[in-house]
Amino acid sequence: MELETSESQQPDLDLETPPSPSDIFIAPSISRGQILKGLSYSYFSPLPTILQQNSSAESSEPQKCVLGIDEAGRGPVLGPMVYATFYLPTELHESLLAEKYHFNDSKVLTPETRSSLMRTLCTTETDLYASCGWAAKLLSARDISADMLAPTPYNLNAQALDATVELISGVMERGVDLEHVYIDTVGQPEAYQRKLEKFFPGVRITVAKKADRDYPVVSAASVVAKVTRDAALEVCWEAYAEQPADGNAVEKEKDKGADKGWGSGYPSDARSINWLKANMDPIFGWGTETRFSWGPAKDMLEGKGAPAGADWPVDDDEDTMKMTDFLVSRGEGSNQRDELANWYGTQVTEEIF
Amino acid sequence: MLAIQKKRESPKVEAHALPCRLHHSGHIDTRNRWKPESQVDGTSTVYFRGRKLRGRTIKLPEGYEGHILKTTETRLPQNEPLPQIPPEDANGDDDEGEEDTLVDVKVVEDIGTFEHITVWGHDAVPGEEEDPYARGIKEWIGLAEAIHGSPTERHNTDTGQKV
Repeated sequence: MELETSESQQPDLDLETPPSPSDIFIAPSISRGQILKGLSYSYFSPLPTILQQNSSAESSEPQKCVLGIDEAGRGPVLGPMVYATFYLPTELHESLLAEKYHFNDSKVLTPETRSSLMRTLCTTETDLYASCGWAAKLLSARDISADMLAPTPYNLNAQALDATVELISGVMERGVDLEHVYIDTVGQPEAYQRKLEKFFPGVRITVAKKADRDYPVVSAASVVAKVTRDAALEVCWEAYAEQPADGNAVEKEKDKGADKGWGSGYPSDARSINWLKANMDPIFGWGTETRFSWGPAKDMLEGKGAPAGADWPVDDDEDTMKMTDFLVSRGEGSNQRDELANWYGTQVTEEIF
Repeated sequence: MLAIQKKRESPKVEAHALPCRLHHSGHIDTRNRWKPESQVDGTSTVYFRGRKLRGRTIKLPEGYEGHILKTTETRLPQNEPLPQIPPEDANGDDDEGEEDTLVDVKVVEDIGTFEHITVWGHDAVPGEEEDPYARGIKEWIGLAEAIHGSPTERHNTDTGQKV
């Protein structure tokens, strides 16, 4: 499967590179155990207090809310792809997010600003915490690979649509009255918007390019996504830093990459490519942090120069399998006239008659 | 011809049959990267080279054991009696008789024994009836029992690629 977007985007690698570990805010959306196992999961923040009070009041109308959705980590070969949503009462949309906190596209905010905004959002005494809810869905590199490499591939766009629907549904199930949903997209906004309108007929939906710049609620979602993605990548990296010193390949190669880490995880980042090269097991490839379905990883493991290629059946051709196939693989290296293949006798030739 | 050299203490191994042909033969380190997980229903899941594999573990029938065998280029030592192929037909063809008394015997090394084999499918558990390994084990044993005609006798079955 080809990269669908990242190569044309040319990310700014400095802004994409996660800040040093001490600067990373570990949001509640980070579940170390699940990330290290390579699991995909979602996290929903508690319902903001401002909406809780509202739902218990007898007469007042439920507060109308806006919701934004954005993603981080679509292009990288390392780490999860994160979809995030952010919602708050419509009347606070501009005043709280744009005027007071200056939320902006996560790509123009520094890592420190992003972390600081996220920290405020997760701190109970703040007005952000009281008024805003958020959620994140982490699609693990392991699951992205498995889905894209499945016999019937489940591509990244379909995975993205399902994550988006899951987040919106999750918020609605918590009793939030959504008035307008804004979604950032890198693809064709019209087609995507029509699909989503079918899922949520009563909600006004705006799908737009650069929504993360133009709508504060999408900017806020982009910050949640980016901070979650950075912290998740950091958790993946810790797994290597903590490898037991048992003298195996992983340990050796860790030393080579330790000072520079693996960079941003983008295929355009030489540090990430070097890390992949240095840490590839010829048989197993990499761990749950790597998207095997990405061009560079796929080429290293299964391309022409690969140390141990693998042939996966294209079709279900089990009917043509010979009994001798069970005994010995007849790869390029093995004996052409393997005696085990004739263990039960050779085929009778015509000359015998 | 081949001669299986049975070790007295053949190590117990786990046998896994992968749904792909790997261009590699020999030892590999499975400690860090091969982590199958069992499900409640007895099937298993493992992620291998970015793919999701689903596995079914087959227990070999009572009285049989599995062996991982490796063909070698080592010849059976000459001081041991060489197996002789008796001329089956006294009036046999001349050109067939030439090498009857000297047969090149190569050693097949016994790497390990197993009682279960896990058969893996790409994204789907191999079917109990359709899967060639499950069927192979059943049908071969049926055939072996039939042609040797002695149901109480014990036979070994050889199978498997190892991980």
